[in-house]
Amino acid sequence: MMTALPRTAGLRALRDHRAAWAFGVLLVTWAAAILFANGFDSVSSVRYLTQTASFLGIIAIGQTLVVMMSGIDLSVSSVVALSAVVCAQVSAGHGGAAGILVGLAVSLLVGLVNAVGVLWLRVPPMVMTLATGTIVAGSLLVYTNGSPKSAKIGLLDSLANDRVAGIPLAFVLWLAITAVAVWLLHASRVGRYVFALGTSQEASRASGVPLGVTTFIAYGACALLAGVAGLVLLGFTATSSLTMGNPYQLLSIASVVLGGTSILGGRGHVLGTVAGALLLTLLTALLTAWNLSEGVRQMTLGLLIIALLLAYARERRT
Amino acid sequence: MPDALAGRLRGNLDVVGLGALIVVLLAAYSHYDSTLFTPASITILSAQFLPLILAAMGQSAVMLTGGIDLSLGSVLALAMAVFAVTADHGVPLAAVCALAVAAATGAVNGTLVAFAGLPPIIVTLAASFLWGGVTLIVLPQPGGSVPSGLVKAYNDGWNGVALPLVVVVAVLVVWKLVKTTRFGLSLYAVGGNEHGAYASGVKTRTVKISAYALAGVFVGLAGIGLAVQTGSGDATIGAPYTLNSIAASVLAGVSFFGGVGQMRAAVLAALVIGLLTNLLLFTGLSPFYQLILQGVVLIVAITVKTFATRERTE
Amino acid sequence: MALLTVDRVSKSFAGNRVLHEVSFDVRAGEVLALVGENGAGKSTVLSLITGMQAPDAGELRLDGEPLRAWSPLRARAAGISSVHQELSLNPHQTVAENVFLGQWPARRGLVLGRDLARRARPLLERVGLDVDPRTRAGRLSLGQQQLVELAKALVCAPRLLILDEATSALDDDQVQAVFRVVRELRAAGSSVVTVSHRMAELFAISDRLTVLKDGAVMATRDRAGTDHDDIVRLMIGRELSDLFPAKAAPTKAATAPALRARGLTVPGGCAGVDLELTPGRILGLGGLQGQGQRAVLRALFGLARHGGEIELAGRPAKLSSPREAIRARIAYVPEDRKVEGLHVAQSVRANLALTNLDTVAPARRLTTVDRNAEAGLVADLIDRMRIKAASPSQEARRLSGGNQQKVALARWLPSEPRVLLLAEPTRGIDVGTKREIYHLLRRLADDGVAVLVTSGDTMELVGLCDEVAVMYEGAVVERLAGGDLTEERLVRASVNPAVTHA
Repeated sequence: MMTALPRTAGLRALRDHRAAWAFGVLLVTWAAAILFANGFDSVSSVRYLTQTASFLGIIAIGQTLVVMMSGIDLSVSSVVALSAVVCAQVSAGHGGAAGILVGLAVSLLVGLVNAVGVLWLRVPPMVMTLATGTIVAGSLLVYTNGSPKSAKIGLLDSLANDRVAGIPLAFVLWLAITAVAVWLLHASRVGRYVFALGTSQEASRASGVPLGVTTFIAYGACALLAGVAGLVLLGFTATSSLTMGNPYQLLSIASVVLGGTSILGGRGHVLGTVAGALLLTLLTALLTAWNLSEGVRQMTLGLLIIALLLAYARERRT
Repeated sequence: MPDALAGRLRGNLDVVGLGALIVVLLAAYSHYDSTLFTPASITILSAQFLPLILAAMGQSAVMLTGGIDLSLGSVLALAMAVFAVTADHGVPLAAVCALAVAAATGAVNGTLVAFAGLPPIIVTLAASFLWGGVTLIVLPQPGGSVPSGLVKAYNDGWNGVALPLVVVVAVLVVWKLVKTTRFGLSLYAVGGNEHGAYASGVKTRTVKISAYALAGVFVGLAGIGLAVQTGSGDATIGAPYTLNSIAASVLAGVSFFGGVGQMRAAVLAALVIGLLTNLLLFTGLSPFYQLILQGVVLIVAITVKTFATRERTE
Repeated sequence: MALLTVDRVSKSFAGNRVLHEVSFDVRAGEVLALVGENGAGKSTVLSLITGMQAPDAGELRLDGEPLRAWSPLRARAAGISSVHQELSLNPHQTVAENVFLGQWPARRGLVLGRDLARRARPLLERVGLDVDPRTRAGRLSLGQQQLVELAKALVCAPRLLILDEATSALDDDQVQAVFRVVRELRAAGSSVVTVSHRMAELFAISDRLTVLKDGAVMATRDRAGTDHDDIVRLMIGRELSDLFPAKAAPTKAATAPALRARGLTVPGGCAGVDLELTPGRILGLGGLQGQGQRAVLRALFGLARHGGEIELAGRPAKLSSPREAIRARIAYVPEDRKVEGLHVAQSVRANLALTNLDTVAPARRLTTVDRNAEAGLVADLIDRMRIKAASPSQEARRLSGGNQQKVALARWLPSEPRVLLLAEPTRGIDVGTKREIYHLLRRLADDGVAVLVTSGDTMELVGLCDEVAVMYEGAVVERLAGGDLTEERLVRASVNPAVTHA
């Protein structure tokens, strides 16, 4: 009955390699930017793009872990602000190292709370993370009384702004994190569990997949990475704000999906997310370069994301 | 038929529970504000709660089909902006424009979901950018021109009638009718078992698109209400309504998987959230705590619901 | 006069030829059975008739008129309705709303609940279903829901009724109700096309049988001119002997049970069930559908909260999660392959590896998956179980039902379970694969595994098991073994436990 398989296999290979598509779209867009827009052909522009894409990219890697197990984390925007604001505040009294540690610790805590809610309280991931995000945003208001501090922390400053061999350190950090994520998701036991959970929760339970451990790892890692991104952003701007994470809520999810990962879970590759984050950063930069008004820029970005989704991120009908 | 009675009670568990909660909240409220039950208070409060109530109804309509609308806040702001900008040319025209725009955004969302095979969560997330951008183009700075007479009549009562209350009741009545039409039954059928509905000859795509468009109308009304309440438009005011409308729908027992839920419960749940927020202000706590409270209420409510209904589902 | 003619119809999915020039006709006032193994193309033919799919070549004619732009909606309008194994009910709406799904009668645009219930009652009566039409459909048993589907199909007074495994979840009484409806329709001049794995039912009700194999029609026979063996031969293309393996030799009394349950109770499922699962023996759980058999299995695998005592190899044990059960070397093959038994959207390889990650991704490799070990394990299992897959990376959903079941079973084998729990191990599976599975289960038992099987198929329980415990309303009411284990005794114990008990 399987005589005419090559064609099916070919189609499936294409669909399974939507991550490769993402890189293709990225390259085409980049080439177009160099040809048709000013200022995209210099080394410094590449440097700047990879550097700014790193903030989004680090968050999106975490988001990929969660989306892959058919969850979603809408609290990342708040966690970005949380780690930066808390770090700035703590470092004012206790020094940079303490600030960084506390910032990361509270970020991780949010992730663990998310996991508890999803796992034990059985709150749907979208609602749980929206709720914790709101709680974190409110807590930050209370904590800072509405006016967060700025902070210049040497380590973060160099992490965000320095270069090794001409490559931005932030980008190196992002790639290192990606490498670990590739191992975790695509080569380790935990990755198998994540994919299994993303495909079917019932079947996973009946196969003995450890739901608890896997959920804690995914949400914990996602929040921790959002925290890392917050710290790098703090180093980049030397100030913290309550709204600094806002753009990353949508953009991190868009990076994951444009990177070819199914929003329903169980299908995709971490590397696609790297392409997705670069692509979105590039598009944003292009729109800024064209000097469009804020409204037109937002609208165009929304349209572009929808168009790209239509082009290659459709879900199969069942 | 004791079975039928028990069934009916169980079916209305959400309404009964929320009703009881509201009674408690109102009692606490009147402790802080003795004028609560005067017509003036009722008018003011209903004007204040109307946007969330209607937004919750919109969100519920989408959730009934198994969808979700994360662009709700943006659409609400868009309708508000359109209304505020066109109010010069007469309020009825402005209202029609705002509703038409809101319904159109819903139809676009619905079309993308129904025909393109894109999951609602990602479509509406991207759409929130799109409609947010359009709103900024329509109304870059807060402002607009809502006739002050209308604002006054809406907030202070019109010949002693609380207009917002009338609107909510009217919308509920309309929904009650819609629910008993074939479209209404299709809505629940598609949410409960989409494939089965399709195989039985229900035009599932049309139903979905209509549901999103209908939600757009509800959200558009919410936007108009908010414009009239505040007397102007503001492109940035919509965001919290996304979370709160989802919170209200979930509190009301509308299922994320579609097919289950009642509008009256959504209205009551929106009231609970509104009353809680106001109560918090009375207690003298900083308004900064408002967000924390909203998040906590949402988690607690869902947890309680999950564990209360666990016996039934397992 | 042919009501419906299927004329040289072909259909492919993604390059896979599913139907090749299939022709047959359905006469007015007859019952036609479509038979064939899984994957023979029966469902595809039906989906063409109901408008869910369109043919690539050939045509279908209704009353001699070719069908154009066919859709479920038009099929219904033309008087074709269908009942599928996969339920199309909305569990959250009432029975009445479901009966009229998609064609609710409206008055001035409004659909009145009272009106619906009134109109639904006679239809429910016709299918022998005694429930309040205002009950939510989800509260009915699976069998009752299937009857609601039948009532739904009768709404438009069908000229052609399609029954696709419509009796799979029904007990004997309910099957008789379906037969009554079919005979009524036939008497009234309507036609029925039926598909079922229960061969006896097909012989009981059909006028002609059309046999499909590998997407082509092998033959169409009058019922009077054929028999069971003839049809099976056409279906599988060869004679089928020794469907069931030889049973275990009478037990040496000394064998200690691998698992012993005392007073096993699951709220709403089963109560006070005592079981002993002995290495080398296959125990069956029989009885009507839904008498608590499922609850027993789920409790023993830690999927359902339960009370009572469980001993594993003589020692008290707690089974509160599947992980604990797996650690105690209990394996479970659930009845619903597509939901619980397999990750259907994942590859065969991923499915087979998932339950064996301890060996494939050991801690000493920091849990990194050893791709070579994985490939070896997968190739070995595919080979051993004779799983027909295009490659290990083929998605499990693309396999036939029988091969899916083999995967669901194979993935437990490397961990060498002591206790094997199977629910409806051959439901919806072709007869060739059934035979393979029966023989495999017997081999496993001979190797010292204690096997527990639930099944709604009496013949299967009698042919396969060493002993059958009959359940009724959550309790074991009868145990049959040796010479007492006959189909007749089993059926009698299932439907009338009080009498046989006395």
